[in-house]
Amino acid sequence: MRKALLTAMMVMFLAGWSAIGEATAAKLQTPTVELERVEIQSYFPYAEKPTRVPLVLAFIFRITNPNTFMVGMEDMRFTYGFEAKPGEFFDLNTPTVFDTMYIPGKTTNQLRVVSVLDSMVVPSTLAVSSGFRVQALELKIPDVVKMWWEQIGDFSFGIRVTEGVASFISKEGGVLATFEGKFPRK
Amino acid sequence: MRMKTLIRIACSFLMATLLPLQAGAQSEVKLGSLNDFTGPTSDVGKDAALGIREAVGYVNDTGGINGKRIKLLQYDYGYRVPEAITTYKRFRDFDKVVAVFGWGTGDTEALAPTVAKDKLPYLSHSFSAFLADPKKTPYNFIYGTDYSSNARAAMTAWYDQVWLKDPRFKAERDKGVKPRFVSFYMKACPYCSAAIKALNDHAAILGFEVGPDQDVPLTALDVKSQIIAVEGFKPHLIWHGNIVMSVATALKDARALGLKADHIVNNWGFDENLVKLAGPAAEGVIGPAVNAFYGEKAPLMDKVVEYAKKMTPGVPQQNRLIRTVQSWVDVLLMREALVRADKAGKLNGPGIKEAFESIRDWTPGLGRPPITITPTDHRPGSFVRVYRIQKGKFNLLEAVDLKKRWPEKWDMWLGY
Repeated sequence: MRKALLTAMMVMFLAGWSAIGEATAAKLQTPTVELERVEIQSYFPYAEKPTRVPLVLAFIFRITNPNTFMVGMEDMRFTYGFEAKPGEFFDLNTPTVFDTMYIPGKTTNQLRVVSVLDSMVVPSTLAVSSGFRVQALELKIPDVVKMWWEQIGDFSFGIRVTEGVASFISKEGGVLATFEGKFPRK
Repeated sequence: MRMKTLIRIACSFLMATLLPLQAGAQSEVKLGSLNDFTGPTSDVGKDAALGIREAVGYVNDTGGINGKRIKLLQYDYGYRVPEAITTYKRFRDFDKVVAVFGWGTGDTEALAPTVAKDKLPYLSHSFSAFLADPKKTPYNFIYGTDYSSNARAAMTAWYDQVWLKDPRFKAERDKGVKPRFVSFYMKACPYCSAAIKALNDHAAILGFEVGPDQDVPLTALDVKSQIIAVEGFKPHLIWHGNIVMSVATALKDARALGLKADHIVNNWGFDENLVKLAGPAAEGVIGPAVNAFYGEKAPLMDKVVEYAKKMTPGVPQQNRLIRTVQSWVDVLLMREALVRADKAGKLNGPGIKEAFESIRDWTPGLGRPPITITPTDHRPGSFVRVYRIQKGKFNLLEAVDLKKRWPEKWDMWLGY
């Protein structure tokens, strides 16, 4: 019994030592972040002002750790925008995630980021951040917002993710991963 | 005995190998940050939010708070006061942050009594003068000169450098005509209207004639009716209290309608985007800047640019603004207070407040004039640099030291 216990402890000790050796010998490779899909997390039908209608989206990312050792993701942020005319995207929000997650070596985690848009706020976002561009494209902000709320179920317009940055930590130090993506991917 | 020792060694080893990634959590300093990524101030809010995160990255890479890393909890509240209050409660009750970075005037003023009751230091991007009077808002701090001081300084610089010197106004000066002045701002917006009382007071001090204020929404894409409304008054000077997009709209419409007035702008309406959006209509526009513009030659600016490139590579450099630099001043001032409080063994609300109030003639560089904060005056200084846009560049017009110029009034202007 005592011998078996000693053997087990030696195995654990060596396994631990080996893991450390592997980690310190390996160079930290940057994990990858990929937009897998966008889902409508919760849907409320559009209504004209002054009714405030939320649009609750979920962005599902695949986060792959190419290393042989565990890495932790400390935070992540990205900007997403909707297409108002073919090829014309307008950034609407920049969600940030702080929930730390650990990803074992050579595995992929999925992360769901929920973000809420507000039919009363989006018009101001468009006006203050892209007002002159909206005018130049001869778009009417209320019509664009209505179209987005009503057609989101079919994803008949593109959703673009840009400026994505995720911060990873490991025993080998930290690294930032950048990413962007589009949904639907056609 | 030998067995126990072996078990202890093995357990210690496993702890050492499996838990190092979580060790950081024990030496963290948590800070909350309320930001506007989506609301009616997002044209300046997003850049400011990015700057906060990048500056915190720099602080963590350079020793943190006496070795403790900052854990930044940054949330978009869309400039909605109820959401700001809800998020603040989360910071206070669940995240247990030691201090908060705030954003808008409406939410910061609304939270001020709660912040004071909770003894939770709150350093805001809102520079409302109300937040600088510790008798009313003891736990609120600002890193830039307050809106009232900025407005007084911009008006003073125009008066000194333009009204008294420009040949355009010689005939009227010689006749003893008073300069005529009106304000364009969103009346229902606490930020936009924060400086109006001080501006009208200052107009009286400098001998201006004040015309009818014009209500301009923050989201305005057409300001022609307001321009037409003041045409009859023939203003020499218009003050714009909104932020960049609506200020650019007003400048363009004023130019299109041939209104012959000069323009001064509050600091949140005066940045690199104004030049891009207003184009030729931005020429000659005057405004205050609380620190150097993005990329301008100043101590530590190389780090601002380096961290923007490193931490936010997706945003092109030409889109970065003075707001990033402001956020660095904001974060570095917070670090200074936290380091002092921690060294004193008082990394808590009252200790951090005391540390802020011990700051004298301190600057992080970045073109920020020295900051002094005392237990009786949370205004971070009286020295305001006022710039004029010329050929698309920001040129210093006048550095106004309000305390030096009006020493008898400076104390009375606290919280004004």
